[in-house]
Amino acid sequence: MAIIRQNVNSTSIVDGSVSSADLASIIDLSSKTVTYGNLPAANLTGTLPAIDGSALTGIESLPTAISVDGSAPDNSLNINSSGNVGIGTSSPSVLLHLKGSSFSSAIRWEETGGNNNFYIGPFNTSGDFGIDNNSTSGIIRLVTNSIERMRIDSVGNVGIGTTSPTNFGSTFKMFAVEGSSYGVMQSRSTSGSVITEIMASPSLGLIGTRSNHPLVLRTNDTERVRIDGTDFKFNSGYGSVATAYGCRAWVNFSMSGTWSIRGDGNVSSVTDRGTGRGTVNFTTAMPDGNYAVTMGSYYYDVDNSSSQMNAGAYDLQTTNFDFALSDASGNAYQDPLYVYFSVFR
Amino acid sequence: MRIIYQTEEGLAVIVPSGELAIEEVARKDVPTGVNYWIVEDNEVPSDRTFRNAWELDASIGEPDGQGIGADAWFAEQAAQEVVDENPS
Repeated sequence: MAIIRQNVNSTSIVDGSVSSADLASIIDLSSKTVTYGNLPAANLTGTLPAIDGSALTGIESLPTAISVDGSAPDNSLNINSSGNVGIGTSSPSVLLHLKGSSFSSAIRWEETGGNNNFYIGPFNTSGDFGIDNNSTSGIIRLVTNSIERMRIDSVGNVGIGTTSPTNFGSTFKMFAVEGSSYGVMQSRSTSGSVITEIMASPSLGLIGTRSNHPLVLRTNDTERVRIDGTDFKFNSGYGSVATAYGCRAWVNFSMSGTWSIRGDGNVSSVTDRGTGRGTVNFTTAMPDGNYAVTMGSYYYDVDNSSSQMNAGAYDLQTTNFDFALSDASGNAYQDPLYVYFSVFR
Repeated sequence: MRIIYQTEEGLAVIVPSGELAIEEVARKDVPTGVNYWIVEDNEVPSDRTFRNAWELDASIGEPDGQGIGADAWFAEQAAQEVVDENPS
């Protein structure tokens, strides 16, 4: 039986037991100051919270610096023998261990003005976790080696390697990857060793596979285009994809008067080498000289009537081919007003 | 603009399509080591009656350059593409 013979703030307690109710009524540690004598920890029993320590000394500032609500649940704050701090747990296993049932137990930073709130922690009981910036215009950023590497801006645009992912407006969402020379988004399948990339280099944009696998384009979940190791294939609307043989160059030009090109594709120039003779030069070279050239021409005769032409392409090189056009009899070279070439390979 | 150069057969006139800069067309489509001149369109005769007799006028002046030929030009392009597509 504890016996208290001290004068506690004008209230005298004499020999005998002190009930919890009495003690609570006369000693309100949140507002009173113990001014005389020591209060042995062994005597602090009953409804008083247990306090590890030899004496309640030097706690005059406690009520204003630290506030403890008497109705706080057990183990609201726990410091174990290893120095681990537990909030909501009596057995903190790491330096700071939080335990709760929902987002209400997460960490929150609140700006004094009340405009900005930041949370980190679980936001439901389904195992989901969140980092929330609830300010209206703030970002979330990730930094390594003192340099910002990634950010999510206030409207949801994501930037990697850039502090300013382009904002096209609230109805757009941008995922930007930026590097000083190259920006690369890469996806990998570890089971199939497939590596797919979308890349920007200093001089070109690239979509493809880095590994030796086909690249497929789909719409409405149906394959439309397939580029495998050798062929470009597309679905022409009649079922599955098949190899496409594209026109690799074409040109429409006049050989009348001063030669002029009306339109072209993959043709850097045509060379006038004399009446009825010339060269078509490719902008991008052919893989070999085994391509097919289709030709057409239209010629006004001296009496202004159209005339059939003999036309031929020869000396097919990877970089160019020569051609010659003559009248129907093949006796004389002619310069038609309209000449057309297309090249297939 | 037109590019002109002399061949054993006569005068050749290159008509650029516009896909490449005219200087690049000249370097590529003029044969290796052959001098070329870049001239205005109207400096090339429109009357082709005697086309095969055209020759360079001695007063044309110094050439604007020499062709390197298509093979060398495409080799240059291929080397540049390797650098662009394969970051180290």
